[in-house]
Amino acid sequence: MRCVVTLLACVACTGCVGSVEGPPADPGPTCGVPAFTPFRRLTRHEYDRTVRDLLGDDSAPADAFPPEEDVRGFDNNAGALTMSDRLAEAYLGAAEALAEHAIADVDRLTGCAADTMHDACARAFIDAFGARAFRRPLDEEERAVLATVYATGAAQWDHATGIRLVLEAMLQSPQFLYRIEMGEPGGDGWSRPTPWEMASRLSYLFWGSMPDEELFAAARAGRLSTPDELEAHARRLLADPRAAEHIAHFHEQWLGVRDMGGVDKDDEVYPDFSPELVPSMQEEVRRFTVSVFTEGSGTVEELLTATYSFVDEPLAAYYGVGGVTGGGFHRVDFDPTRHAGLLTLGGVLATNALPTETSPILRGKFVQERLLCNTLPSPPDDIEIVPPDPDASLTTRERFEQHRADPLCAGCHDLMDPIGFGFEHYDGAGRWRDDENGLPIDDSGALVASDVDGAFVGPVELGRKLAGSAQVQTCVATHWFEVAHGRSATPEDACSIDQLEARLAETGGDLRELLVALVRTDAFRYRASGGAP
Amino acid sequence: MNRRSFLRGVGGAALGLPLLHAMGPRRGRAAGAGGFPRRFIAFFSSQGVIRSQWAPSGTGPAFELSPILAPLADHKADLLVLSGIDMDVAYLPGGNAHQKGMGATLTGRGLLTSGPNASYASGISVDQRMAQALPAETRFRSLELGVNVPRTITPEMRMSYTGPGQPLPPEDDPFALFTRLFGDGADPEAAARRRAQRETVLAAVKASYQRLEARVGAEDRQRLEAHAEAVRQVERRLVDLDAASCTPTAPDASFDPHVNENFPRVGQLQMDLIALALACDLTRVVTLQWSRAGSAMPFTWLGIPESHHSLAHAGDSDAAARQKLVAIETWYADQLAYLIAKLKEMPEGDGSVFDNTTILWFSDISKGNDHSRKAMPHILAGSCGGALRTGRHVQYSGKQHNDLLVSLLNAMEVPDTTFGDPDYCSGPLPDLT
Repeated sequence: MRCVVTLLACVACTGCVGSVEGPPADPGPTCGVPAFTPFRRLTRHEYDRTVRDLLGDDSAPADAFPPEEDVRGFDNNAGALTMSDRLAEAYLGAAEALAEHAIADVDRLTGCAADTMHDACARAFIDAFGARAFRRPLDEEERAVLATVYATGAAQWDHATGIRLVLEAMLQSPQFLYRIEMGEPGGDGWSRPTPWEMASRLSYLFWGSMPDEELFAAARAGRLSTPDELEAHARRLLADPRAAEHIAHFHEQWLGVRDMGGVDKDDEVYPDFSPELVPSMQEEVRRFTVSVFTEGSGTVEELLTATYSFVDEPLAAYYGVGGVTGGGFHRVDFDPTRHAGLLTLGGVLATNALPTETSPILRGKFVQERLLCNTLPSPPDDIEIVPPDPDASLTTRERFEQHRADPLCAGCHDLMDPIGFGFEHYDGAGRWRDDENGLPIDDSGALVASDVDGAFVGPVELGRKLAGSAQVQTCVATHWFEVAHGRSATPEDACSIDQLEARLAETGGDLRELLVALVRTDAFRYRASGGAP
Repeated sequence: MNRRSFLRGVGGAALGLPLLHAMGPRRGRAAGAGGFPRRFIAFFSSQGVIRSQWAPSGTGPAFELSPILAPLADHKADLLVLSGIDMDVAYLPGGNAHQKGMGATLTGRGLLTSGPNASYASGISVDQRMAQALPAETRFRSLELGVNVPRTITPEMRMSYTGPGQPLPPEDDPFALFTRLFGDGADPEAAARRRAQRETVLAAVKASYQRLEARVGAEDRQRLEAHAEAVRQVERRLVDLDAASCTPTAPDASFDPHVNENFPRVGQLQMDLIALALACDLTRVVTLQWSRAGSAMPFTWLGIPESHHSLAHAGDSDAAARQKLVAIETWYADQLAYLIAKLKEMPEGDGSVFDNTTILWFSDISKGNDHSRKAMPHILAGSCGGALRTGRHVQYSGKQHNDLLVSLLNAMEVPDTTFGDPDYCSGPLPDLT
């Protein structure tokens, strides 16, 4: 029974606190009712950040959870996430470890003064801490369930155990693990997130974590419904350091470098590469992309054409960049005729390659799928697929050209290989090379299936072409939309995405303005009423 | 029952196991020879085989092992080499060839073609069907294990399913697995206290899911119910722990299980744990997934620097590549031989755990460079308590992979007559029993 029909039912419903006497009637979505999104379970990334903000615990227990199912590179497609016994076990283990650590100072956790009666302390803890853990005030039944847990724990063991068990129960409950949205009454097929639910939408969009006190206060006051209110919070959240971390997370997923565990390079072909470089390459991707947002123009153009990046000592030595000493990462400038933002980051190029050679196919596929949002068909099922033979007297390009002459293969490979050839000055381990085993390199390429088709030479020219592409702008906007909503964009979302593209266009492609614009769209401010009970 | 049999356990460490045969046969339907439970292990390696080096010569009991199968010579009488079985269901649309192959191997179904779980299999896998159908007598209904399974999850990484688009994640960390199987060595008093506390907590947690389920729409209710069911399974597992029956020594967590070079060591530890888990009757259904379908890992310890996937796509006339593939496939046969030997070391009744087990060695495709899903390379090892007539090479013609899955269910005493997509199934395979 959802909070839909009568005022009485609304008051009894947890999601409706603060919305009884609201602002003037909301006309609802003008764009169309947003598609249904199931309850969004916290991803590992969000779980770790949430417990850090909730408990001050940065042990990151979710790193050991089973990984999420990947949809177009991202981890938070709510409909794709599956449940398993192993995950339930992992939640239990994490809850116990977090609670054990938290009650080391139980008085600090509960905030109770030394002379408070234990029962009263537990009640207050369940109320106040519970409201933070569940991201909204608890209702009577929820309080009662947790009070029973405390009572059993305290009676059979002691006060600290009672508190610990309450915390363990909270951390495994759906109100913590899922972003539950019950909504408040709206209109035909649509409802609005409650102020509490809206607070979570904002905090998880910008921080991948729970709301802060200011957001909770706004929710308590029944605010967070007008576009201007949402925008004000959006700008505040975006300016917070926590946003940088979350922006880094988006980019490491978008660019496919979040998990580089399978990136192995042959010692003989790439003697300077070592697995120890991988974390540095990943961090380079994060720092570069965040820097564009926090220090730079925040534009797709800069992401694709920047001639600087961030390296630590090992990476600097590997890339052959001088002047970097001491710990940490430093901003360095690269040769502007060779370096093109994210296109030439070592991690991206090493990931899109093989252990012993480059891969024009993988690099072309990366551009097509990740930057242009073109879906490439799978190879045909019933043909023999044989890559070009190794031949030290030919360059990779020459070997692939011979291969592409086969009309059966060319249809698809013409979409990928010509783009991939443009990266041939970067070897399979992500580093610039002047030649290929003494042979001269031809890095001319051709962009196809885009709105900026045509020839180019090298990644710098490719970067400029893509920077001028409306298709790339739409692609990036769509990725952010999908990450914001935890689902793939549907035709119903076309209007919201149009609004995002318009905002990008009028701000010269400023992705920070895109993020803010997200919270003004119908898709963000409203929700489908959900399936039939 | 104080005598203990000292055997080589995890990572070679000596371990103490109670003499299981002295405990007598177990209750339950899935009873093999002497009334012991039957076990099934699914053993996956990717990208098929070089057929000419894999296929035995001769059929029936008088067959000769091929070069790839040579490591299994000691166990020839326990093998059933099955040639000529097609996996046509894996040609249905829905993804790339590796995804189709991987999805079909244990489910006998095509892939979902739309929705957020597109390209995942459209039905339950045979191991989970066994887990559902067998009596719930073991702590784990099933175990899904892996060796260095990549952490960016696409359908090539998953072969075990509880339902359409519902894959299960394999555990590829043997140190974490050990703790899940055998606990962390808490003393009985601490364990009892923890058990009681968990009961309190999980009762409240289950109540939360139940309450919420009643107030939401159908799709969300399904998800919450799946979560609640997982909580119930975990509760059963943790609360029912009988710590006394098996207390092996934990392996030294001295290396990173996700580093490529450690692949062989991780594999061996996982196989040690499988043998222990079966001997201690913690489960009767196990899947072991080596890497993933279309695996790109290099077998550097065999002196092979190229990715497995690249090699698998070599042309038929590329002798050097084919030689490397044969080396890889022979190495996997060696791992299977290790697992068989380990199971034979675990005493049970008058024989061993192996006597009551069958292992299926299978792949997502039969041939690397054209992704063929015809004439799949299937090996069965172990008679499953006498249900299968081993020691033969059986050549099939016009038979489907789904029928093999039915035969495996029947060997585990699950009397299904069909499995997976019914259009690709005509009942159990003939000539296996």
